[in-house]
Amino acid sequence: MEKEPVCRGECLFGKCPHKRCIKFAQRNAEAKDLRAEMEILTEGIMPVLKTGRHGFGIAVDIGTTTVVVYLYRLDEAKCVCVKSRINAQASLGLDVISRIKFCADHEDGLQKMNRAIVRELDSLIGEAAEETGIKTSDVSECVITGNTTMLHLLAGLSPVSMGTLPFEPASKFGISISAKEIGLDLPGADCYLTPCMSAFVGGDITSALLATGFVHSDDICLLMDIGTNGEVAIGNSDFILSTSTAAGPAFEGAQISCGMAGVKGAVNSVDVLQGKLQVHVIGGGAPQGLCGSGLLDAVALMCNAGVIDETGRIAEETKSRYIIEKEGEPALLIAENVFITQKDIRELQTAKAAIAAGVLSLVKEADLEVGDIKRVYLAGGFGNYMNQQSAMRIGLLSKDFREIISVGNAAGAGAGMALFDDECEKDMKHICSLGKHVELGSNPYFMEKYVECMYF
Amino acid sequence: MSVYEDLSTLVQQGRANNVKEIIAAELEKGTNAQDLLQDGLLVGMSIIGEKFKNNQVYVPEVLIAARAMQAGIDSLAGALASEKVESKGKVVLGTVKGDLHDIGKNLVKIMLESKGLEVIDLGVDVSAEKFVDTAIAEGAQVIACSALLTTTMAVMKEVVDEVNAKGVKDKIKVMVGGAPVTEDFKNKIGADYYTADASSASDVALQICQ
Repeated sequence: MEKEPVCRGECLFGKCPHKRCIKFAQRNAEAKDLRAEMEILTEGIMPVLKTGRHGFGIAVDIGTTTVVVYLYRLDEAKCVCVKSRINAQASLGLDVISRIKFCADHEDGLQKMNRAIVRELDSLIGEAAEETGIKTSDVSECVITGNTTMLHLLAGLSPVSMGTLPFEPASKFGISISAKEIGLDLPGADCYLTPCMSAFVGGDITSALLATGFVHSDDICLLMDIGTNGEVAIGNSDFILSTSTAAGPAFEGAQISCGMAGVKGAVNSVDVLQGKLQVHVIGGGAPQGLCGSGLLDAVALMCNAGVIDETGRIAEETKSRYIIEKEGEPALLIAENVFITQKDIRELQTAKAAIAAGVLSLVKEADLEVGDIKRVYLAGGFGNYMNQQSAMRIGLLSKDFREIISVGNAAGAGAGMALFDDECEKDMKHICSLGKHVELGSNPYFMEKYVECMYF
Repeated sequence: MSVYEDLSTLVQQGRANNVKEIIAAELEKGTNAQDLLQDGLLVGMSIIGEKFKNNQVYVPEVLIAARAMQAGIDSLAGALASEKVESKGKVVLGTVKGDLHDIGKNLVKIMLESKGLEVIDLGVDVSAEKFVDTAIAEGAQVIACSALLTTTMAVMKEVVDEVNAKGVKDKIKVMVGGAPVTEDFKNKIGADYYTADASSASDVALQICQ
């Protein structure tokens, strides 16, 4: 049976062989249907908000992939409207490094990036204000968080120095800039840009650490933000070590044969019932492909069944009925027209090993054992949607983790907190002054663990 | 099974201790060290390389096999030194300036060595001048450069330019590789060869040297 190939976003914009190109749809303002189908995680843990202020506040989380704007009523300490969208800069470069390269390669690169995000924020803020029935001039407070590169692009600072050794940012922020200077239509507000620890551990991690209460905890905590770049921080009120590890886009479904983003038609979880695979498809209907959490489940189940051996090889000798042949190579059939190839398993092994070895390297640098970690906070979309059991089975999360708490969009939550309390700005600065960056590239211990962690 | 096949199998399985035992026993018997290396250890490693290329084995297995091969080569070192060993060629290898990622580069090194090529590993953050000056000084036939970041790939063009500027284009070939590198990119910067994986890189390097 022939079916339309599923777009995995591997094209350049507009040159996609697929009829329904995800990226093209993201750029195309008309294609509202796809945007609506992609659920952007906006919720995060929300600690107690301090009351006593008046008017309205805007908290913004600029992610590499998605942008979220929160509108708060300050007197009631309530979030009254949330607006989110795909980051408009995605059309100029998908990941952080390619956006830095865009700025290095094009004379007006930075200007284009800056204009894209400022326009997008203005439009989201405008929508939120309109929906709530307020004027943008009623907004008196604004806190903007994001990774170091995103904050550079917003502030109009060149990110180019972060593209090569020694990866130095032009600014680590932790400063207020008037909205006018940024170009945002918020006449009554200054914008606080959250402080960054390094080029690759940014203001989003600082505000996530604020929201999880790291600096007020005596217990050792671990924060993991699992994505194309996995950011990890360990510490408590005495110390913080942080790092960033290049996992690649496998968790986002990219570079996987049947991979796709977590949109309608994606298999987002796989279970086994009476010896049969049960797949859950986002929005129902026929499965079109696998998103990251579905891939994780499927591989974990196949590992349990021994169909994938501990080295990650598809064990053809088991003659499992899930084993099929794709272009002469063994593959695993998960649902009709949805399969996992040997290469896909290798991609996942590399991705999970980078994160797991990053955690082990921080634990070692802190002179601790994994068992000393009291709480593990999982931030970000993937960490929220994935099945923790599957993540443990394949070794993305350590089996020695005790308490694991999904905190969702903790960066956005932290930015929200900071609207209400000036102490939060001090706390975030304190986090950054405590924070020590651990470099993993060319780190022999990381290399050793990276290889070890590739096994299932 | 012949002793050479045994050695090959043990290298593939990564059993360093068994490799050492067999080699010690064979040297005692007077078996030629070159033969043990070429027909035993290196054959095993190139089978692993081939399987790696086809995704049948992965990085950990390659590294474990490489460890066994290295143990074998160390055991042979004394015997090899007394024989005339002819290197099949020389390769200058490194990760380009501005970049410090070296996992892929290290895999390439293993594969090159398993083909009997001599590798001068300059490590990470290597400037174009250093690549070319070393290659000229050492009389290497190949410069192999690696990059993981799209922001550092551009240095590869500097290596090509430097080779041209020093007038050694006919003597030294430039190979490029790494996650973001493509055939298109190779053509654009005028490098000589691009390969997608470590195993193919060693095949091409060997061809250049012969």
